[in-house]
Amino acid sequence: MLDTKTMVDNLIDIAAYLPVTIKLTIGALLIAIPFSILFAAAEIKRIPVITRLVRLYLSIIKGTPVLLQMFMIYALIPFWLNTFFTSTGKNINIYDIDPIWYGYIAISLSATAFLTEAVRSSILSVDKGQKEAGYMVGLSKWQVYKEIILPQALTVALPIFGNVIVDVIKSTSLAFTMSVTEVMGRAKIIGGMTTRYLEMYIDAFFVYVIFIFFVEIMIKYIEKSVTRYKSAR
Amino acid sequence: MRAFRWDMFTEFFVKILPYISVTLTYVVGSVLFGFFIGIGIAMLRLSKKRALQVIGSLYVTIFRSVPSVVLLFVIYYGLPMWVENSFGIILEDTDTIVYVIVTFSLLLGSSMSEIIRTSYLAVPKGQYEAAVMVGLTPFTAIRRIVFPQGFVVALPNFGNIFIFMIKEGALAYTIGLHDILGRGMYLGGLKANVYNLELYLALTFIYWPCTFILEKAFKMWEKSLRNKRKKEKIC
Repeated sequence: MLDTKTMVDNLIDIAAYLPVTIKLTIGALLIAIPFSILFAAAEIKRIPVITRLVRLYLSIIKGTPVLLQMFMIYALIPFWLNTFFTSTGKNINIYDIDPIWYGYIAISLSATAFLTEAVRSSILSVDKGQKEAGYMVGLSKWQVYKEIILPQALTVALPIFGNVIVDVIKSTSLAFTMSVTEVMGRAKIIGGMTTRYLEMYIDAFFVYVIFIFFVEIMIKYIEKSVTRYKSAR
Repeated sequence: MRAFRWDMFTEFFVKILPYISVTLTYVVGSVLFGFFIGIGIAMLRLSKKRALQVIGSLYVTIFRSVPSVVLLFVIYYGLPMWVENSFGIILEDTDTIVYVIVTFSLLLGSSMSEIIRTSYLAVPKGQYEAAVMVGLTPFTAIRRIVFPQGFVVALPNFGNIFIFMIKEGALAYTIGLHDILGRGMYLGGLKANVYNLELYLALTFIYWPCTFILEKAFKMWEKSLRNKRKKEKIC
């Protein structure tokens, strides 16, 4: 039978690791946002070789499991860093590096791919005539983007951006495979200590569902305050 | 840094390749059962009774926001316990793939229900009414008139679900299933994880073509359906 007492007792302990989940999410997004803007720009501008490379990156990252990407980052980066440090004669122990850094990088790979799509499609969603009209009345290129395209693109981008945030939060639950102790990792550890795995995973289930529920409410609220620019269509 | 061992890469690639069938089994199984759950949930959400609507949207909210790996573990540990307590059947010899299919059917049920609901709503109601008016039975009207039109709307999303499932199904490795990833990690372990770079590259070159081909296939299917419909309209 379900051991409800252990379940309730450890719920707070597991929920206490939400800050790590949030840290992972924000860290990964902070890496992903600048890259996705650059990648989207490359896709829209159609720069010969670079656009091809960006498309290849998007195709590979979207076509392979996140778990595989994590294993790759977690195995290869320390290996390369170690080779680099020993060859340059620096005395740095790679085992001192907090595994959360591998978490940031591994999660940002897929976050970048999905954000690139969001940025690209939202900028392309603004009608071309708007840009031309902006130039016609004598605005500079920067002004056209800042005053006309971005405010409208933002209303399209935000709902997609919200979905990406939720997806990133969900994929942080895989970071336990890289020995990062977040909500899922903590549930696994306590499960091992108490041998009550099921109860701990049910706890984690509730923590994620409630947390994401609040995140979605927050996103809806932000969406509402930004959609005042929504173009009439 | 050691040299890249192409022979190991090929060895992994060839040895893992047959396990695509395991991955395909749970992909098709989950999509199929997920589709039926999706129809059920969509019907709940479209029903006129308020209570049923709430149940439907609660299901979607919960299964949309739970990470797959968490649900997978809950099902893997919880399902045998639940079945034993309520039916007295001990699920000791059950294949691991069953838990994978149960988990992902539940998860896909929520996204499937959204796809089915929106594509059902995309077909104007007058189409159904006109079909019934000319004497079709309600079932035939749905099958011959509403379904083909909704299907075109839903197709790209179905393609995304298949691709999602191939990728997300790799989590089955965490409960010890030997699918593409699971077999790969096992083979890597046999070599004491020395050739992990070769292994991961081999895995990438198995997963990536799978999803790539699937994506292109669905795009072509969608295109041909749209062309066919255009021709019908002209006639």
